[in-house]
Amino acid sequence: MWTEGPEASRLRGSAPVFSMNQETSKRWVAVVGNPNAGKSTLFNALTGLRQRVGNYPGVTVEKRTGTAYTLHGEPMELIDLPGMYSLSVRSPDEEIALKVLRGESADLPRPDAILCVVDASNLERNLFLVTQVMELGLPVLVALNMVDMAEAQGVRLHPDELSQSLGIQFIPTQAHRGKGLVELRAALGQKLTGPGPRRWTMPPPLAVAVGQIAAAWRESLPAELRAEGKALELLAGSDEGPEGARKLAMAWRERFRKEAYDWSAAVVNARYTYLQNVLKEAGVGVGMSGGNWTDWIDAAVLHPVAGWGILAGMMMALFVSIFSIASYPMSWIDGGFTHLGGWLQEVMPSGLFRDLLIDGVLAGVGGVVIFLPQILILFFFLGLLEDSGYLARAAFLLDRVMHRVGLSGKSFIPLLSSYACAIPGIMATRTVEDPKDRLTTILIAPLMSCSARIPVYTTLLAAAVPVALVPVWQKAGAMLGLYILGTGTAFLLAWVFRKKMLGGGSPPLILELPPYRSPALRTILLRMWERAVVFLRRAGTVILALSILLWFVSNFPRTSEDPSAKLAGSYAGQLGHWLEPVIRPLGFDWRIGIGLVASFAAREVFVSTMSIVYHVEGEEEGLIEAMRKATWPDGSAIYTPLTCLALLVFYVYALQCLSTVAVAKRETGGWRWPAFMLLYMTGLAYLGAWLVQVIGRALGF
Amino acid sequence: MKENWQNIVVGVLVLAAVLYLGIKFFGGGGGKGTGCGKCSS
Repeated sequence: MWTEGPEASRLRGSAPVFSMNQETSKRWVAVVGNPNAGKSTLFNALTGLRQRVGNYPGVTVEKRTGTAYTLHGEPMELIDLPGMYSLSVRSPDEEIALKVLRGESADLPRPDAILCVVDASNLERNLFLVTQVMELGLPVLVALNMVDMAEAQGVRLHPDELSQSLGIQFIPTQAHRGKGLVELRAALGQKLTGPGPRRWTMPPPLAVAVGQIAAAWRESLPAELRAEGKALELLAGSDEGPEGARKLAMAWRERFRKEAYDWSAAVVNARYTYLQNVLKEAGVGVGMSGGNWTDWIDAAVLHPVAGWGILAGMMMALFVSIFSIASYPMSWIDGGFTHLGGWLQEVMPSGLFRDLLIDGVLAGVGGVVIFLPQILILFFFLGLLEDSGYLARAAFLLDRVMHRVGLSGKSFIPLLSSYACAIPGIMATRTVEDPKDRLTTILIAPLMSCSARIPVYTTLLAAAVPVALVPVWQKAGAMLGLYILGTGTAFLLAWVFRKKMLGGGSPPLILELPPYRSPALRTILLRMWERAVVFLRRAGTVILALSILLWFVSNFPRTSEDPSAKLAGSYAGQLGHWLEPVIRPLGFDWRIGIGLVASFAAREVFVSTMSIVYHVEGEEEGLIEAMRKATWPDGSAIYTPLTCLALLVFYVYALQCLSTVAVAKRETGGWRWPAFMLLYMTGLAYLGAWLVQVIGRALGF
Repeated sequence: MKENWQNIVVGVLVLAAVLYLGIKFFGGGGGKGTGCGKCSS
């Protein structure tokens, strides 16, 4: 049961104590804190949900809700909010958090209490936000998180003294180990009161201004702290409140401006001075902030030359694993599908349905499912790098390049997410404060090679050169080259968009380097499992439906019994032939044309399509063999290394993903930018593939 | 006759696939729930 702040009390009637939000009959607790303080980990631990977490700031960009229970089994709704350093919001994700805290969110009620999650190893900065949150007038509880890491760094923590000094309860937690949760649940079940009066000393000229403005609020906001908080909001430019208070705030703002008095800096300084004294009085000792080994690793991974070598080495290790380790489970899956096809051939009577199952479903779905091990290895590596804290260092390293092309380091996380999938990448651009920076990041995000490109890259690399003849490291090198091509082009285009089209400079990077941690294997395996489920669900739904459709349009209308003529006369064949004059300069035939059109829905459908196309044509061997044997009417090979390279370049650049277009529309608020994205990327893909052919032929390939 | 049931099943499956893809890609009107399901967004 909680005691509400006086403002909330006024809003809901006169009762000073309440047990739940009367609008929704539920208790709502907002979880706030600095980025990377462990909010989502604590949220997951309390609710049993699997909200995405990571060892870098800015993982959560949207609010999420989940049900948690007090020790007495009373339910409460927790709201996990994006991280924020202060209530002076700068980016769209911080705005989401502030709206919820103020009760201005369209889909959530005003919270009944606030759970502040603070990083115990960085108390001063984390408590700055707490002092602001207290001024919102709601009951506040602090989870002193990551106490193990703080103590390992030599920080001495005294939660009871802190509770006494700030007048709110501090509970030590280790969210990733589930420690302190019982105490937290117990505290959430107890009476929580709104914070008392302000404890930090306001500088004299400001104190007079705030006192006067707050007095104008007092009629509607009896709580002194809340009234002062509102006064500060009005001074900062808010236009909500009684007319008298607004006029006073405007007058004071003007006076401060004339006197060149930076009142907001004075507030920040006053809060920090207060917090330094609180920490000193509470006996909180400052540790070694990470220790020597952190500095030693950072010296290597952040080195302007060695750092790049380490990053390239890690990427190579990733791709070597993708090719070498994954080849075993891939051959098992392939064998399984071949066996299943043979069995169906034996037990089912001949007919259309059997053909659909073998040449459509098994060829199409099996052709994509086989790549599951490679995708899981990618996520295992990304999980290791992310959880260890290395990825934030990679962001720091890349910031030099990104700054030159006009992007801020904040674009790194969205771009990094795009290597998995452009959709969460584009959504993660909400952490980017500058709207032009954000738009540029959205426009280039799909150029990062996503996991759906892996099946296409692997298939085409294998078709280009016989697998047995090429050592693994060369294939890994080729793969790395494709990733670098996409990333390099993205940076180049970012420069064009940012400097030439959208204009403006890029803000400096303020990046918090998280501490190094030994990766939690359970978290990584859990994420791999989630990816596997997502991938298989997709194979069983979208890819399955597309495979059925592709099989149908590759078989009908039936103009001939000869497999090749049957495909050529089908709807898909007709479309391919219609398209061939356009793609012929790229070295692509009409069958590839079918694949290009079909994969507009999703890139990996190219593999399914080619698999179905060659099955319909009566090829009994695997896709790679069928592709190698495919010829032009004059008998020359279609899939020469040059054509495969042109096709690879096409897929590096092309926006072959309807879902990315949909999410870009949502995030940019219209069709203008997604249409531009589709046009420029398709044009780039065409131009790139054409240049490969022209230059390749000129060089005698 | 033996082939007939197979033709009917194929017809139903093709129609279902068309319907599913239509709703999936064009029926959501944007926002949560649209898209390919490739990511958990």
